[in-house]
Parts: sequence; C-alpha cells; structure tokens
Amino acid sequence: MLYPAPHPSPALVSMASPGPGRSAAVSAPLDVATIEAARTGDRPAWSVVVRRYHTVVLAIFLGYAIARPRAAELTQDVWLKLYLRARDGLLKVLALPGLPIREARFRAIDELRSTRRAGVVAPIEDVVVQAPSPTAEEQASRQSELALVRRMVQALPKRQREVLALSGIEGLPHARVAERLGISTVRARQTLSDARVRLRRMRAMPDDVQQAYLSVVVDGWSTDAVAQRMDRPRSDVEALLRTAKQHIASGGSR
Amino acid sequence: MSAHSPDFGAEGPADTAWRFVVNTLEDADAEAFLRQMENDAAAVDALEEAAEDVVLLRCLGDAGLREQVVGAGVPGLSADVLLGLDHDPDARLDAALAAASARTSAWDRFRAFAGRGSARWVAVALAAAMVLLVVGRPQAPVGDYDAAWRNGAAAVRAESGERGRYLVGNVADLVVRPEGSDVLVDPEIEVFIGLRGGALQPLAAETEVDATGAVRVFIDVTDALGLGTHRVVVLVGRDLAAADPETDTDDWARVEASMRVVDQL
Repeated sequence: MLYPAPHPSPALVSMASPGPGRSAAVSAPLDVATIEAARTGDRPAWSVVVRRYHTVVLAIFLGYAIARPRAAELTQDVWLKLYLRARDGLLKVLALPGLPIREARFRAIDELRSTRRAGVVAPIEDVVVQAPSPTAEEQASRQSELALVRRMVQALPKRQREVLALSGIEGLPHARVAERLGISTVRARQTLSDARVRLRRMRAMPDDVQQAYLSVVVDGWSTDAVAQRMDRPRSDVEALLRTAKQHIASGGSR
Repeated sequence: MSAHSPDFGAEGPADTAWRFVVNTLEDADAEAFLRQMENDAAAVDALEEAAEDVVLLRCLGDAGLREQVVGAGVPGLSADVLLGLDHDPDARLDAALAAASARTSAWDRFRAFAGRGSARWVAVALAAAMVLLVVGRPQAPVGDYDAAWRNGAAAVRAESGERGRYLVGNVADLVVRPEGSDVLVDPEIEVFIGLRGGALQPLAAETEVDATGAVRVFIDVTDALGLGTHRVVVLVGRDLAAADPETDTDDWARVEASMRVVDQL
C-alpha cells in the first residue's frame, strides 16, 4: 500500500524486509535509546523498529489465514498507525514487540470478523510508507534458509508432512486440516506440534550431520553415494547418520 | 491463565507462541501470552521463531510472498507435491544404517582372503557355514517395553493435566518405548482395551513408530468407551496374528496402562 505524498519532501518510514534469516529472529532486543527515539516519533528509529519486527507482524496476519496481499497491507497499516501516534506524541510507552503485535492481532481479528476499521486515512501530508527491496545479503541468507526448510519438510514422516502441507504451507485452520485428512482437530494440532519439534531437531543438527541425514531420507541416497558426495569415508557418514538418529530421537547431544 | 475449556497440558513456550501466531489460542490465553512477553525474553524469542516459521512455510507455497521475501527464481514446494510424497524417512534412515552395519571391515578382510586363489574354497565353505548358522539360529526374543501416557486433560489451559485422565472428545496419547537398545524393524502392533475391568477386546487406534522403535498410540476417547477406569494393552512383536493379549511371550512384548475417563475435571 502506497500513500502518495502531496509534497516533494516526504518523510519516509522504511518498511524494510526483516533481517537475515533465523539469526535475526533471535537477535537481541532494541536498545533503550532507539525505542525512546521511536516513541517520540523519530523516523530513523522507526525504520529500525520496523525492520526488526516486520516479520512478526506480517506473520500474525498470515497466521490468521488472511491472504498475503491483504496481510501486507494490514502490516503496513499497523506500522503507519503506530508511527503517526508516536509522531503526534500520543505514545506514552512503546513496549516492543508487544505493542505492534497487540495492534496486529486486533486488526487481524477485525479483518476476520469483516468489520474492517477504516485504516489510517487521516491526513498523511508528510508520510510515505513503502516496502523497499531487501538487500542482496538478506535475500541470500533467506534463500538458504528457505532451501533448508524445503528439504526438512520433506524429511518429516508422512502424516506430519500432510498436516504441515495443509496447515503451514496452505495456511488452513486446524479444523479444515482435520477435515481434509479425516482426523480429529486435536490430533491435527498434536501432529503439527510433533512436526515442529522434529523440524527444530533437524535444524539443530550440525551441518555435516544434517547434510548426510537429508541426503539419505529426502534424496534416498545410499551411504556410499553420500560419502562420495561429501568426500568423506563411508565410516564417517555412518557415524553422522547415527548422530542424526540420536538428534531425531531426543534432540541429540552433539 | 483463565480457567475455561479443558485442554491438554504440558505445552511449552514454543507451542504457545505458535498457537498465538496461528490464532488457535483462546482470547484469554492470547492476552496472557501478550502480558508474558512484557517480562519474558524467552517468550519473545519463541514468538519470533514461530513467526519466522510461519512466513517461511508460507513462502514455500506462495510464489508472490517468496519473491518478496527471498527474491525471484527460488524454488518453492506446493502442498500438493508434499501431499503426494510417500516415502518413510525413518525407514530410509534405518535401511541405510542397516546396510552400513552389514558391511564391516571384518567382512572386507574376509573377502580379500577369499579372493586369494587357493583360499577361495575355504572362504566359500566358511560362508556356507555362516549362512547355516544364521538361518538356523532362532530369532532373539522381543525385548521389554514400557508405557507412559504423554498427556491428560487439564482444567486450566497450558497447565499439565493428570496424565492418563481424559474427557470424552480427547485423544489419548500413549508412548510405548523399548527398554533396551534392540529395535524391532517394522513391528506389528495391536491395541486392546478392557472397559472397567472387563475382558480385553481389540481397539482401533492409530499408531506411529519412530526411529528409536518407540510406538505412539493415539486413542480417540469416545462416548463408546464410557466413564471409568479402563485397561489398555499394547502388543509389539513380529507376528501377532494369534496373539493373546493377556500373555507375554518371546514373540511379542506386552505393556499395560490404565486410562481414566471422567465427565468433568
């Protein structure tokens, strides 16, 4: 959503893409000075805030099964509304990431109830909210993360794959997933939880263990083929696979 | 947390965060999670990780979102393709490990010895003897297993319920684990139930076997079971065609657990 600026020098709250991959998701919270600057309407500080928490806000709308284009619009609305409130001195406290998350949740609920709020239609004489392209570095990091996720979901047991396909990829609510698969809603939820546990365990594997494991269970390669591909002795690959099995069973120790 | 509809307990922050993001928490629980985030960095981390997962998974099936987040030309994975896959990853891993263990260095040395001209006949004779030994040897007894309920109905959401206690409508989740390190490959599993101390009868229950040999048994707690304490017996073995669920033999392992079905908590 683009709010055109009527004059030639618009302020810019940058809707930058989120930071690189999973590492950004667990990065440290923003420093107090940045948060305070954002609270009082400082534009560069808001760019930092938006960059840091963009994914969480977008994910709320996607998680509420709101179509992606509309989810992107609502995400921008959330940031714009908060920025305007800060700029107008209306934010007494800026709790992060609680405030944008709470706002996103309320907007998502409204959207599902088809009682859309008017959005930010107040005079926006000097604000442009736009979504610049992510940097090449950010894209590269996310590409590798997505490629890994793509392989890991194929390494799930069949029922977990089915539930994740419908719930995680298609975005269907649990009740519809259960209906499609002929299982109970509770069971669908449990299976999805199991799938996420297994994905976490795969992700926690050391790189070489993960590579050997995915080559065998996703690509169907033999240990000899994996050894050749990894340029490692077969005995090494066997040890990697045994380690992978421990990780899958209990989270692993390596 | 508020006291309202019962739910299975033992839910960690990662699960709560996921459910917050995908809108399967009750309003009161969602509000409690928001409050928790104000003072709990772990809750914030869990939420951000769940959010990352939601976006990345959605990227797989949504080319537009994928292009926006990771750029053009990155392959995705549609739900239909994933639904069409039929492989069993645990079986593939087990098969790879089994094949590997069958090729020991001792075997390699044996082959080298057998390849030395005059030793070939000796090698052939030894191999034949080994085959006879393996084929003629009786199968090892099935090891012992133990059983534990993984869940139970709780009066308060996100708190652990009493394991093994359920309301009608729940799915009871029983885990049957081998006590030793020997794992049965592709075991047969039969589930029986004795209602309120009555005779055991076969029960249709969904089961899953993981890479460690542990068996998960999912039992739909229906009205047909009725209230009361029921015996649940699980047999794990090689051939259960004529298995007696009241007995334990070398051909199968037998575990028993009690399930309590109540009308309120």
